[in-house]
Amino acid sequence: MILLRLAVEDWKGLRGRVELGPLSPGLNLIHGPNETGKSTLLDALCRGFFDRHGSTGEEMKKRQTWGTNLGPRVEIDFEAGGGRYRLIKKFLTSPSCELSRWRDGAWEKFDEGKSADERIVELAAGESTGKGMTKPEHWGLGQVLWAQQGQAAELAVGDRQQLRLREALKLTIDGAQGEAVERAVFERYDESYSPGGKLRGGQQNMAAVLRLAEESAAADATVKEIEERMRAIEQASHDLANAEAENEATKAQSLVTQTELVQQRAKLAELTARQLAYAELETAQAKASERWESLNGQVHRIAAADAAILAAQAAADSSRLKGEQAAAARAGAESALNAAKAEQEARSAEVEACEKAQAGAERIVRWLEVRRQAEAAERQAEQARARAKAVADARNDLTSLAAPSAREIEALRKLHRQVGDKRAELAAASLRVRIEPAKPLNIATRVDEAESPAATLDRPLELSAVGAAELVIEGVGRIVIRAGASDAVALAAELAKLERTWREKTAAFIDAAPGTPGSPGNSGNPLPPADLAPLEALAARRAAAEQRLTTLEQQPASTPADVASLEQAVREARATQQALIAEEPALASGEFTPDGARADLASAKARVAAAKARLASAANFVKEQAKLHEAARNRAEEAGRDRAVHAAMLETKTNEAAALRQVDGQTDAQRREALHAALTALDQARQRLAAAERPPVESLRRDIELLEKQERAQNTSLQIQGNDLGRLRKTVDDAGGEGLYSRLAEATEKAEDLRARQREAELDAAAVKLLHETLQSRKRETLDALLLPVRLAVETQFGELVGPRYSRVEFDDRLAPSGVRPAGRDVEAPADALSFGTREQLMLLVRLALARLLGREGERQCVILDDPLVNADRARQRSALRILRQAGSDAQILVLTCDPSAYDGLEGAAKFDLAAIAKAARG
Amino acid sequence: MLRLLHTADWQMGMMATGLGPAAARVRAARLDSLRNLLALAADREAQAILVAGDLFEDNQVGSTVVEGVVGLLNDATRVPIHIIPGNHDPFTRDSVYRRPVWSQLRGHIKVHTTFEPVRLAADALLFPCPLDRKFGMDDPTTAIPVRNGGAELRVGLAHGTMRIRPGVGDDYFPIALDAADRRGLDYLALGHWHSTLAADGVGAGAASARACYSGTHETTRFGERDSGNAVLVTLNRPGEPPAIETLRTGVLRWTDLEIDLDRQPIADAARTLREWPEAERTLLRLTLRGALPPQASAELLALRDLARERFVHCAIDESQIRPADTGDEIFTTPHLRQTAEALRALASGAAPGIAPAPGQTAPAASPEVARRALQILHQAAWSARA
Repeated sequence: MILLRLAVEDWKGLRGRVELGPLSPGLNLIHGPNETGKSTLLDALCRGFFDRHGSTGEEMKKRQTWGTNLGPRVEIDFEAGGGRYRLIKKFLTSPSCELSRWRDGAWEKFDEGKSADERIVELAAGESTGKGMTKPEHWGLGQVLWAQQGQAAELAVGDRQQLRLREALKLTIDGAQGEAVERAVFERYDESYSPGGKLRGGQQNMAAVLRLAEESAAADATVKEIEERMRAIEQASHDLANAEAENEATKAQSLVTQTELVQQRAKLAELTARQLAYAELETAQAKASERWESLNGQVHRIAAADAAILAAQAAADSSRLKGEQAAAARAGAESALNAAKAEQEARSAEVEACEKAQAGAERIVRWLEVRRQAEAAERQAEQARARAKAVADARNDLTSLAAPSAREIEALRKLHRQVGDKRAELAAASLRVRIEPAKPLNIATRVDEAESPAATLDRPLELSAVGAAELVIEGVGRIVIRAGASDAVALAAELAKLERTWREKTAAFIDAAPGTPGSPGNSGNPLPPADLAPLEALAARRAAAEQRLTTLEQQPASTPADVASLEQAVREARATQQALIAEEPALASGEFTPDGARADLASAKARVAAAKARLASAANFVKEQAKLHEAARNRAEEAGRDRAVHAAMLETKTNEAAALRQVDGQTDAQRREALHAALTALDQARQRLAAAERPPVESLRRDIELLEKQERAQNTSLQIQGNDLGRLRKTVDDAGGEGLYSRLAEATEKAEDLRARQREAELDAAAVKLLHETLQSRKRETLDALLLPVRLAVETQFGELVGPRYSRVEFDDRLAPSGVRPAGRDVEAPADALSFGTREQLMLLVRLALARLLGREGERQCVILDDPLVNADRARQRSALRILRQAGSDAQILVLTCDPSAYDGLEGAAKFDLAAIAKAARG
Repeated sequence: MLRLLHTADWQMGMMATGLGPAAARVRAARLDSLRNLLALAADREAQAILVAGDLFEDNQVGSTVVEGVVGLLNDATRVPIHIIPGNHDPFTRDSVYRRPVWSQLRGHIKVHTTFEPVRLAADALLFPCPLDRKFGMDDPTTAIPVRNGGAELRVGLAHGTMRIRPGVGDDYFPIALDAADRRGLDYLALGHWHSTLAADGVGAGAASARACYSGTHETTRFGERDSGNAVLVTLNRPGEPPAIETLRTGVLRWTDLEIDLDRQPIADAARTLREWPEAERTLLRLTLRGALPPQASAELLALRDLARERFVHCAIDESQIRPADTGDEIFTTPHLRQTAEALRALASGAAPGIAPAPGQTAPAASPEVARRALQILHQAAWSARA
């Protein structure tokens, strides 16, 4: 379909009748500034072709010229399906629709009203809507080939349009059968698989495979559960059989036990009777034995009593003999004790005499010692008196010497140094200063004396001793040099003061000091301050005198108290001597020597020691003899007691024997005869008992007890077994009512059936998936092949437009470009990733390619482009114009633009100045 | 003369896997065939019915099953019936024969749980050999006392394995091949094998056979040969060979059928099934082989439906069907044709696999899956065309 002429009246901003035409079957350029109504033309075109003239509503009312009630009107001449038509539609106010056909050189109306609406839609290959205004998907190929403003970068292809395109492009891959097959396959695929290709889960839309797998697993679980139960019942049955066998065995054993018990109890009754007879024999034997034992005991007791008498007699004799021996020993011991005591007394007297002699010798020795001590004390007192005199002399000497002490001489030394220092200071006060700059110095000099100020010191500067200079040296700071007569005068006064002090302090020692003015040879002048030596010598002499006194004072007993003490000691020693002489008159002779006296004393001590040793020996002997005497006395007493005891025992035994014999009143012979007779009777009783066998009653009783115990255990076992049997029988009997095998059969059949259905469903699902994917794959390949001309055209022109940047353009199965492949790379970039301008240009190429192919294969198509190059650079604009020129040979192109200069290169295009046309219409 | 109806292995309440909903029907049929058997016993004037074990499939069968059998035996006949427990229903502590329902038996039915012989007639003794456990390797007939003179007919009733012919292997409770002779029996009624077999190895009816398996009275599975029978045994005099006659008792037919689609169009196969006699009593195992053209896919579907409607049960093995090399003209779009070609190659094993579509994982493209996929494609295309 192409357009021949378009007239719009009172449509939005286009007031009056605006008419464009005749339009070229090739290129058309409709230009005008913004707001002149270019988009309004396209809107009127679409509404004229596809909307019912009776459309009302707000959307349609927006088409009215603002502020009027005029009905928007459109008039289109076009060619479609080999015919030439004119449609005239008016909306809202007096709405109408009229369709005319060109026949025989004139327009002939052949339809109107709603019928005309539908016929027009049919001619334009669009779709009607039941309600409301149409949308691009109703506009037939217009949806693809007519790019509205702002939507040139999009390319949506509706189902009907796709069919049209496919039919036109001979893309018959989706014919009716193909669609039906695909729909059938996809529906089956969707039943089992999610869009991601996974089996559908979830409770609502679960895939049959998964649902059957779940059911199959549940059925298997049921089967397993029943099998477990059956095994349990089988085991219970087996246990029951065993338990019954065991129960029977126990019953049999119990019966045996009971039988045996009866037999043993009968046997016990018999044995009990036999046991009574045996007991009588045992009694007889016991009595015989008792008789014999009684007699035998009497005989043995009498014999024992006789033996005891004999033994007592022997013991009495022995004790008497021992008493006599002990008395003799006691007398001997007493005699020996008395002799020892006499010896001890003699030795004691000897000791006393020796000690007396020793005391005399000791007094002589003491007297000699006291005499020596008195003589020594006299000598010491004499020496002490001499030392006390020497100390007094030394003190007198020191007191008479006029010399400075150590502290005084130290103070004088210090004063002497101060005088010297002051003299040197006074001498130094008369100085001179000379400054010799190495280079000229900028100074501000103030010289109070001779020199005049100078700005620059470039020669030596000398300052006298009296005066002051202040130098300010640049970069160094300030130097003040001062000297003056007032300082020297002060120093001299200080020196004089010091020298006066010196003289005052040394005046006391002048006369005593050798070589000093006061000393012999001097004229009484004061000591020169520079000469300290005479005073030093005087101080040395004083130090020596002090040293000597100290030495004397440090000697012992050099004080008068010491002397008095020593003299008292002499007097005490003499008194002691006199006392000793009074005790020992022999001392009065005084003819004793110390050595002789000490020898006599030692001899006396030795004699005393020897006498004491002998006395000790005698005393020990007395003790020994006393012990012996005590022991002998004890033995004698003990022997006396033994003798009495044995005599008493002899009497007792004799009485006992007599008493025993009086018991039975028999003689010894009679008694022996009776004993013999009793022994004979006992032997006979034993023989009778031995001949009779003891019945095994106790053993039998034990056996019976064992059997009874066994019977009780068996009864208990039977009780337990009975309980077990009851339980097992109930389990087994109840199992029959469960019909487990029948349930198992049904469950197994169900599980088997489910497994088979699951296998079938799995096979089906896998087959559907395989078919789905194979179908997709083959469809893709087919589509690729059929789209090849479109692709090649687009790819070629896209290369011209944007350069060799992209090697391939991909289309989706809805025939829209889905992406591009960058040159040299095996990846696809989605179309959305391209810039808006590039995407817009790509869609322009697709529209042109589709229109061209459609035009070549059949009817020429109209492409409407609303400012398609507004986002292209100059180079691309040039390429695009070239492409548009080529497209104009196969399709009608209507370019709407606000910038006609951009299309200067579009030679041969029919151009329409919309602004001028609209103005003319208004005017 | 003594006439006995020998039967065994009723396997009441048996499991029937792989049959789907038909399993219940198969179980119910075993009672129907028992009715047939009891009617035959009356018709042929049998003096006793001998049931050689395995009356029930298991000791734990449901009460309904047991009550159904007991009720039928009680009500449907007055012919004396002698039953021994077999290895499926041994006389264990949980034996089905211990259930209270057996106390309702009338006097003509006797369940033998011991080896004690009973009198079948004035001149005939029955030596029952019941089993009291499921497994064992002892010969139950050794409990039968050997003949020691006498002019009575001696009949044994046992359940076990007699190697009557090659292929009948060793199993539990082996019975000596010459057990009848050893024990001096005129006839040994055996149970365990489900096919009707006589001791001479040539089948029932042989004049010399003294031991015979009656086989199950109703076939239990596909492939079970010569089952669904009972045998009528006539004994004239001691020492004389018995006369054995096989009687059909079974209700259901278990049939295997193969159809080669290369030789027979699927339409003919459908006709065969449609005209099948007694399909309502037949379980069919149908194997289809050969090439199936695309246009026949719908017919295959119809065949399936037909089989499932008409037969008690029909299992169709389609694994040997291969897609025909021709017939792609039904596809009017090229990519459908190409899809069919690709699947066909895969189904025949000629193609290693199908390249997955972008974003899709590789399918599990086994030949079996490919065949099924091709069938789906054919059906869809055929439906679309229709």
